[in-house]
Amino acid sequence: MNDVAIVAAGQSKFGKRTDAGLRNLAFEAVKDLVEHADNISLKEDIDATVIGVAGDEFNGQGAPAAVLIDEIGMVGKPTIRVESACATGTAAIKTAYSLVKSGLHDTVLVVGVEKMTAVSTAKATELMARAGDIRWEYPFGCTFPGFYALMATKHMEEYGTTKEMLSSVSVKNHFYGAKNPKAHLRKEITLEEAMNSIMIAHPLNLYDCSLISDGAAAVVVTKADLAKKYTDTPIYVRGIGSGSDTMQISRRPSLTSLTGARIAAQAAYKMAGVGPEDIDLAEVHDCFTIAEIIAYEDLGFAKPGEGGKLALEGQTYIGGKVAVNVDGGLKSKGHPLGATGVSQAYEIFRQLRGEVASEGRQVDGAEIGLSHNVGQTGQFVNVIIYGR
Amino acid sequence: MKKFGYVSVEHYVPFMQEFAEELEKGNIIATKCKTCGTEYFPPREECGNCYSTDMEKIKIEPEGTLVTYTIIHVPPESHANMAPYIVAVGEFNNGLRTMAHLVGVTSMDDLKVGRKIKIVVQKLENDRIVYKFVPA
Repeated sequence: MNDVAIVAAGQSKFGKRTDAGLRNLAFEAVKDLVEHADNISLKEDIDATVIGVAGDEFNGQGAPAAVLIDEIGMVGKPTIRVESACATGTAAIKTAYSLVKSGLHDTVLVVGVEKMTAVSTAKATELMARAGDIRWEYPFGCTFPGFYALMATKHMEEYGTTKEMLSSVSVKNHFYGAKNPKAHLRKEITLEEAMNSIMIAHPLNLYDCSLISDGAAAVVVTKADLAKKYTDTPIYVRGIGSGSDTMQISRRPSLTSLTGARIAAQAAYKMAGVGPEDIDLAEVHDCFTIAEIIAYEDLGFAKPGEGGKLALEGQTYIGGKVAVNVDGGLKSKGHPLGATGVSQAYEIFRQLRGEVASEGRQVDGAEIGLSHNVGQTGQFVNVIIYGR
Repeated sequence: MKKFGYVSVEHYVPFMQEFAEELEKGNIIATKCKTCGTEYFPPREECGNCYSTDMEKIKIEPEGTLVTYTIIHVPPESHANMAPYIVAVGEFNNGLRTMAHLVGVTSMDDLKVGRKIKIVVQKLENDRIVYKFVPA
């Protein structure tokens, strides 16, 4: 399948952006896209926009897409706001894909953005805890790290996954995040530091958890016939798969795998006509270290229970079996909810075009990239496979 | 009005009041669809499998097993003064599972995945009530 292409991409600096509100972050990503685009005029060439914002409560603006399209100069063109919790970004790309593929629009601008740090960490923890079932889970004060910690405990018990394996993921993602000028936290950490940081939700400590970040990312999605008009090196959407899961985590038969991710991966691989062995780089949803290990298994990079070993052996660094999160991932690059899935596309777009060499983290000759984006604890999952 | 759990943010529907009132009598209620037989715990008023609303109550027996747990050290705003506390998943009759706090833990052995636990009812302040797990 080579029907739909991405022809331009941009991203804001991720971080605790006290200098920027929601609208400024979106503008920064679109400006970056415009400045790096080969041959595209947003005013003339864009037919519609898709805006991804996960939560209104973080920044306070109701109906945020309205203020954003005004800010980025897209007033008058059709727009739609998309929300799928932490998978909002890929849901926005999937929506744009569908609009283009259906023929309704030729060329669509996607912007994913979140402003999370305007509220306190306690408030942000509270808002995310409410993404658990407010009737049966929220009353027990299970935090978001808590949900993934429940999976980590089970994974460790069932497969012998160790704390060192979890921390290895964190060390790797910080190693690459330090090289990414747009990452939230640019510092390398040692395994010892990662293993001994303060406990958040046992067995997950601070370095097992992704960041609460502000940021935005943008891509232009168009039909393949038009792609070469806008750039000589478009990236094609080869496959998209999605899945979902029960609201209450306690009702799932397995707590060591995300069923929705397995469904999504199989569908995406089938549509793209490739398998896990063909993936040169993967952007996976490492909201917690255990989530990256489970992603290895759900995506078929490792057998069930062997994801931790893959991390420990360094097989997911550049040069290993498959390069994973070499932009720092959610852990070090940051996790502005609505931006994350679009940022994964931004990273794959640049990697497949060989544009990351100056940052010392280019996956040489990368031809196929995979994006794995999980909302909540797997209630929304999108897997998108991109190719040159 | 009795309410379930330490905190709640949703409008309290009659079904949940009834659940809390049964809890006060010591009954932990699950539901079973009379049409297709699907069982729900925590209970539901509607069957998502066959769209029936003809549900019967079934009782959760107190003896169960610990499926997994976490110790929350950094709580949400609503639980600010309670941490650290243990959130666990327990499995009971017919394979029905739910989340609750695990209390009364005195050794690492009490936190062993797969160990026997009991689900018990506890009254809280402000007319609230909850179920909890304790090591058996």
